[in-house]
Amino acid sequence: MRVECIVDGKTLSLSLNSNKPLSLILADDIGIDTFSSCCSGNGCGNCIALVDGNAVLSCMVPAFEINGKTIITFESFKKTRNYQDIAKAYDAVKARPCPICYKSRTLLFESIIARGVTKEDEIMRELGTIECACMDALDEIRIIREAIEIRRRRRVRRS
Amino acid sequence: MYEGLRSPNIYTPKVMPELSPIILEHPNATFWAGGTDLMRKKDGYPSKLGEEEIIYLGEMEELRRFQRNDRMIEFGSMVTLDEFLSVARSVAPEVLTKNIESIGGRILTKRITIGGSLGANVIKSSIPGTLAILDASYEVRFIKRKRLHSKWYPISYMNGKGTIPTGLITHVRIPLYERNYQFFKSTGSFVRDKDGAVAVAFVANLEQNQVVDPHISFSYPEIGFITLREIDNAIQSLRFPSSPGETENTLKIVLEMIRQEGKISPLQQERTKGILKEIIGEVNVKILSTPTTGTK
Ligand code: FES
Repeated sequence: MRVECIVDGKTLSLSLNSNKPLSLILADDIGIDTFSSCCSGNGCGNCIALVDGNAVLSCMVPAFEINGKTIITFESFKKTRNYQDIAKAYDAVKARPCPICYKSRTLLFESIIARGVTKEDEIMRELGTIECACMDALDEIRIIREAIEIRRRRRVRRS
Repeated sequence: MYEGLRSPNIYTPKVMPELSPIILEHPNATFWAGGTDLMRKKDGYPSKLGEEEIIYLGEMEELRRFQRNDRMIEFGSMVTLDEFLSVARSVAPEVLTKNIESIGGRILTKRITIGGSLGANVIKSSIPGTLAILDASYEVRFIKRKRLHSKWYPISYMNGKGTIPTGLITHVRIPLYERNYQFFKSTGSFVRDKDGAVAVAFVANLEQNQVVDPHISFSYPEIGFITLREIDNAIQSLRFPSSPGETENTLKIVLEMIRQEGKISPLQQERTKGILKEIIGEVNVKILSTPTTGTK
């Protein structure tokens, strides 16, 4: 099937098998080698991409669902100011994800930060998707709150 | 790498009348809800099931509706677990909301649909067991003599207690009874820890020194759920506060009944026992802390 989508800012028209997972499309058809591991839906959580701003496990999203969507992978996200906000929050809190889950966890944080979620129980409900146990939940909450604050200050300065 | 693979056609019916001709034409088509179960299939992609077409249900408005009255809540099978929590948290039985929250982060609960979790084959979910003890029922639409029929079945039929026609799960209905004690606990991940994960759901009314009308379900990723009237009776026959000896005896009986129903690993047996002990302990505490009404 033909699928039109925007991946990391590029408008693409791809001929794909309708049920091919987004994780494989990114690697095979677009050449974005972003995921450190692939468990094909067994819950490692290391395949997160943003689809229309929402964090998804890309191994669970079939080609027919990405038609008309905007997809952001860590490879383009790391060049943005929004990423800098999170990187600064990692420094401020003195905690960061390990290299295995760094990309996915950072994108997951971004999806929460972009919606401005600050309540502890709400943040906790958003987490819990990534298997890697390298981070303490309290640190994750502090990082998200810190990054929201950094972003707010940056936007105030800009305006 | 996947040359020569056939790409399944995607059908996206919007209303029921559009669905029947598609099913009639493609009786082996796969119903696609959230896709979490299908994408986990080992041969899901590249698919060996080249002839299968996909019927995507995400655009059927009727399957996304939610309604309630004083006696029940009813929702379409395409309602995601996340949507369910946001619309029904205040009215749904606590045992079910706890079960949904235990499943994982919102990335998952935004994708998993109620219908999908009932129909999951690759990894069974803990949701059907919880719905079964709540006396929930579900509607199946199926083709018979070239026409689409509809019938409601108790969810408890899903563990082999009755024969159900294969078809599309369209709605789920949960009666709203008053139960003053509800418990849910799961240990281990149903996705990552198939030989170790266990979920137990329990509802009852606590009255004086006994539990009345108890219903308990045990769920395991590869087996599905186990509910037995004999297990409920064994729990009902306990007098609370229950002594360590009585508790141990009941645990033994219940575990033996579970083992007869399905093969569970030693770790699952231990975990099941631990959760059961926790329930009995909690009931003991609740019953002991309830003020007794004495006569003068
Ligand atoms: S690759 Fe592990 S969850 Fe997607």
